[in-house]
Amino acid sequence: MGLILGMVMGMALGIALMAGWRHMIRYRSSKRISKAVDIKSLSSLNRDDLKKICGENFPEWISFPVFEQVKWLNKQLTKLWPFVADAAEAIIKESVEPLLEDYRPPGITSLKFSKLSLGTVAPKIEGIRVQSLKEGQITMDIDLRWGGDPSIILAVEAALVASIPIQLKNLKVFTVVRAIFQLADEIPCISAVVVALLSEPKPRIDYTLKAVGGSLTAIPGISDMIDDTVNSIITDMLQWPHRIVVPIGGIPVDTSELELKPQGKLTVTVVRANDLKNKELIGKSDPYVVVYVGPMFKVKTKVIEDNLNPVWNQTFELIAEDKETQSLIFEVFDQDIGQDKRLGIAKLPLIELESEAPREFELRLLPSLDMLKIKDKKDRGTLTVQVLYHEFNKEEQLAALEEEKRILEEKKKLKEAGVIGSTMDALDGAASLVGSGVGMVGTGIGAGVGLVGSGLSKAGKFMGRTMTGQSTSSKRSGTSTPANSIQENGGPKPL
Amino acid sequence: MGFFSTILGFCGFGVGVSTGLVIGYYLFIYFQPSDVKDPVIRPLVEQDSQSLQRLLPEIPLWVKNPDYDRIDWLNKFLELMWPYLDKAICKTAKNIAKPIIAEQIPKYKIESVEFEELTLGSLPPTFQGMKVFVTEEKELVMEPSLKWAGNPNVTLGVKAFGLKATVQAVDLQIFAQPRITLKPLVPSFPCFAKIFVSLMEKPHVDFGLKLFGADLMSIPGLYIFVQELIKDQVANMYLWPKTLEVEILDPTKAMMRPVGILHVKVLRAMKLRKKDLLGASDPYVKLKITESKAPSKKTSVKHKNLNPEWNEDFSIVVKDPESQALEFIVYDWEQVGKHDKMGMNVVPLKELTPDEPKVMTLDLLKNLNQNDAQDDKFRGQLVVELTYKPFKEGDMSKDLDNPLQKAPEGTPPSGGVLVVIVHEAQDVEGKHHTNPYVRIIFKGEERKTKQVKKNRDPRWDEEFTFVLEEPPLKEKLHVEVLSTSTRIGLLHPKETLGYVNISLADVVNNKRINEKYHLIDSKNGKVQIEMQWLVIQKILSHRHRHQRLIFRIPMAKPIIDTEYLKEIEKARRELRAFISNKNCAPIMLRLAWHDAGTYDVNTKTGGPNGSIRNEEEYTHGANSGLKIALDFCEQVKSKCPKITYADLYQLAGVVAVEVTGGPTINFVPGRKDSNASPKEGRLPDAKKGAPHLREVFYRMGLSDKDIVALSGGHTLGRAHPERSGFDGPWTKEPLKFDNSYFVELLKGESEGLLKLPTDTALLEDPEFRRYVELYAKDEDAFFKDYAESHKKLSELGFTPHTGSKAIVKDCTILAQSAVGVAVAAAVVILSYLYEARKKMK
Repeated sequence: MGLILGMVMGMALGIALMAGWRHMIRYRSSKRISKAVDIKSLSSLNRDDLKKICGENFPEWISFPVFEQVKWLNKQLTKLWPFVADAAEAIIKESVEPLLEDYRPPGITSLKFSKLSLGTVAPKIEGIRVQSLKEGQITMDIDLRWGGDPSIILAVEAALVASIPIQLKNLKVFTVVRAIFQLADEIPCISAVVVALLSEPKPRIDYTLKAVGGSLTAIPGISDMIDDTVNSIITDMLQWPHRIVVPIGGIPVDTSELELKPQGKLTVTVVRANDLKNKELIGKSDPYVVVYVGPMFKVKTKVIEDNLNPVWNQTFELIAEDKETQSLIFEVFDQDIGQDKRLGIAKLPLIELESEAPREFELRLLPSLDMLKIKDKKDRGTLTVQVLYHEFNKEEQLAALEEEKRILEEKKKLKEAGVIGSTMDALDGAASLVGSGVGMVGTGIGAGVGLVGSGLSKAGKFMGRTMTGQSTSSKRSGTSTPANSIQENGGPKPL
Repeated sequence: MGFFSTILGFCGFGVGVSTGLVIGYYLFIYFQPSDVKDPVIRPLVEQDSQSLQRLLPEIPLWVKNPDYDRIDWLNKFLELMWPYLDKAICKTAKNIAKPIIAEQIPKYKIESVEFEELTLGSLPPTFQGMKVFVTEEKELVMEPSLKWAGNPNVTLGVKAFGLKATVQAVDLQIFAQPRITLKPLVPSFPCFAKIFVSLMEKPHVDFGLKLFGADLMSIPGLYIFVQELIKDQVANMYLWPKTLEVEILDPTKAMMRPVGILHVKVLRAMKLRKKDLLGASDPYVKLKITESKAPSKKTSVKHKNLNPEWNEDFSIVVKDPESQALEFIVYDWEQVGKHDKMGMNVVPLKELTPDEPKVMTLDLLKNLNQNDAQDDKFRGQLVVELTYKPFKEGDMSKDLDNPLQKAPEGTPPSGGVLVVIVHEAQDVEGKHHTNPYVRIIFKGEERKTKQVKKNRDPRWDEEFTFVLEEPPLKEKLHVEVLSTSTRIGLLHPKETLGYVNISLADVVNNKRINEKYHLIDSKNGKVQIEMQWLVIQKILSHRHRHQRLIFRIPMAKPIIDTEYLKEIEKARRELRAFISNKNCAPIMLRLAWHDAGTYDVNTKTGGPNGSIRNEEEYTHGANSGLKIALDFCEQVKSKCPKITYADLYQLAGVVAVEVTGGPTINFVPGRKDSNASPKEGRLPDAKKGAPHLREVFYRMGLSDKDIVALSGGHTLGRAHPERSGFDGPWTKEPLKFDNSYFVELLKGESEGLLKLPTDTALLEDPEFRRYVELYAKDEDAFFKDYAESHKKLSELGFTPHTGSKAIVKDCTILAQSAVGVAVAAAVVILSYLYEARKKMK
């Protein structure tokens, strides 16, 4: 009897113990899981969540911009900047100089840095945004602003004139850098990083050019040429969809997927233009059209003289690399002695096109693509074009890639021979003997005031001219101011 | 009857409990699913107030404190990357844990341990805020608040005694507040040389550990106990001020510190090409080293001479002999106008052998462009003599370890040197111009920095020193920021942008002060000044060094890769040749023994760490004469610079035994150098007896057998009266390693042979004598035991790298492997407990 009772009691106790233990297991497990869930949900809060948690005591200092602020990173960057600047100077010099060489406009025989120091002001990161636009990739956008005090002196050598040191002053960079991280299954888990400047908002790089101990007018059109070079480098190398692919961490990966490749072919027929503006004093404009997707490959129609309603009917083929973001740009110029004047510009986003369906567009010409600062809304006429987009298949893509390489090689050769330039409008600008139009007036004033100033400071041999360049608008209205504080340029004094 | 029934009842109860437990186990636990489910995460907005209440203690720090920054973008980044990280980390953890497990399990008679499942789950670690600290030092300090409440599933299958058990770790939660310090900052990417990580508070750790599906951590009390244990363990290792140090760059290289001096003697030039129209040219030579901001140096001008002789000496500081080059440019001096270039050439420094003068005759070229067609003209030749003298390794590492340099020689004993470093200024602005420079005045002595043009936030980083007879306790330092302009016609060519007077008593008391001072007479201007007070006082620098050592867990063992092993082989060859050449085997063995013999097993200090190279240690009485051996080793070190001193000295000892006919001793590289020299008196005293020997060797963690075997090392060499006070060799052939020491010892006194009191002590003690007799009889036994004991001695306080040669640099891998090891250890312990329980039943 005792035995059975004992057994029953024992069993009951044993089972109860186990049940109790299980209860504990469940309790603790659920507690841990709920905590894990809480921590997870607290790792990405938005305004509504926080409002709900904090109720009335919502902390006022918190805001939720699209680009998350990174004050801590800026603090660290400020501290680190002198060291970064030191380390970066050598790298920039090494990597940018060959680029300058590639994009060097004709008329200039050598373009090198003679001094490069990044200054004491660190760039500021306005914000960071992380997205996942594609499986296996992380897209990070960094809003970067840099209004630094770098000291960059370019040694420019032109064919006829001796070397002129040109200083890039007041450099300001406003851009959104996009970094795409390609993920991988091996540590460090990132196989490649793609870096590019976002095209929307367009990167803005402002600077002032100033000749040290000489005059910018010594080489006609030099500032335009430099602007153009900088502009081409940025749009052609860095601006989305162009990109730089950096493989990381020694994992052998196929980065060809990430590289920019020719995606399709555009067959563009420039038909005619209507009601162009007359820019000539005598007679009518002599218009021609420059068509391009990226500034590296530009094509040009013939010039039709003395006509405001020209008909060209010329057909060109261009390569598109990214249908989503790229646009066809049409620029109408008036051929002139000296620098050609732009009659208007029009943009055709490729996304509007359908593959294999020819379409005709009548585009309204605008004074500039950047309408923010330009008041002029006058009608500049229209341009009629026909466009056919053909998407490449694999073989065609490879062929196009080869072709592109070949053309680049050829261009390089031609450039070495000094025949053509990387950009066509720079060619004409360089060939001109005197500064054109507004530019000339500006130079004149600059020289005049410069002489007065220099008379005062007994440094009559110096003459400086500053020009504000913007990569967003390829031509500017030539604001020029004399530089009469030449002594502080630190340039050598010719005796 | 009642009694019997009670007994039966008890028996029944016992049986019942066990049956009940088994039934309960099957009923409630065994049939429960053990897989880990991904938790469902609902948006916060949809949650009820109760769950929000639960959330409150976990509110991120950036919500509560304005000085914390939100880094949700990083969380998002991590979240997106997590699946990939999960796979990569698990793979690495498995690979690392496998050899460790394979090595450990035979000891515990376990058949196999393998991961049945290993994932880190779907929940990534999160950063709940980031705070940075701004100091005046060259370092970046940040404190992220790290919370990882994950759902990892680590299931281990253990097979032992034919039984299989599964252990499962789930729901790991780690909350920690690490402080990450990046320093020193260096001017090459990634711009910092080392990462220091330490925990500011004890971390919170929670997890579930399931054995046969039952969570042990939910046994009341056990969890708290385990958690405390883990916390204490981690705290012991990484709680501030203890740190984990990860080296990213070699700071010496990254800092671009000077590593040597290049002595240049410009001898003469020959057949220079004429540049002047009238008469001969007036040549001079300009010297410049590439990749350096130092100004170029010039020789004097030799007028009207196309074959000038200069014979002028120059010294140029070298920072990187691998990449730097010396440029010679010959110019034609002109009274008026630009000096013409007559030719140039470049000598890469890597062409020079250190410490060896080299006379070079250089053809002058127009420029360095090889393809230049015009370059075939003969422009003359330049003859120079170049000697590259690298600094000694020791000088440099000391310099680095100790930010406070020693006062230079010649400093008055009662006084010292005041070093003032003007770093930078902020927000200085003149009314008319801002070309700031700093003037410091101290006791009427005035020093100036260079001028920075047109800059409101100038940076100078200039250093000034004042040698003083006595501490400047009452003096003040006047620091003034000035601006001048050379513009003509300006009313105010010079103006003051602000000044500050700094009392120096604080500097003397603190030895070093680095601070930003607000400028008087300036709106917001600040100037950062660092001041150091250096005195000749050994104790100070020693104490300082010592503190640093306590504060930091040394991590930087030499990385044992194939390159290092190659270097070891090279050093071995060098040493072999060197020792047999110079017949210095005895002193090399003595060096190895004296470096290692300072080990203390209790405090884990001393040992084979190369500390004997410090003046402080080799001047110990016991080490007299060893400087010779140190200098020998230095010669080898200059040929194999990668080897640590600790490895080198021990290798020298091993080679010395080998070369003289002794046993081959297995040498494992990887010792770390240390600068901390132990106190004098750790080595045995030759005049004392057996108890002293035991005391000393037991302190090292060695045994009686080791004592006797190692004493056999006296078979090499002799005692020198000027070093130890004793004279004479122990054996007839002091350059042959054999067992003759023991043979002679047993023979007793013999003519011309030495017996120290410590030697005779071996005979007197019965335990020792046993071995002496054995070794005297059997040389092979002696060699075998000696090789073992010597290896032990040479590895005191040093755990060689085992298993894989892969260098584990990544912190995460380390952490992961730690978890892996912990799990494996837990398995082993638990399986033992289980076994014990089974046996008890």
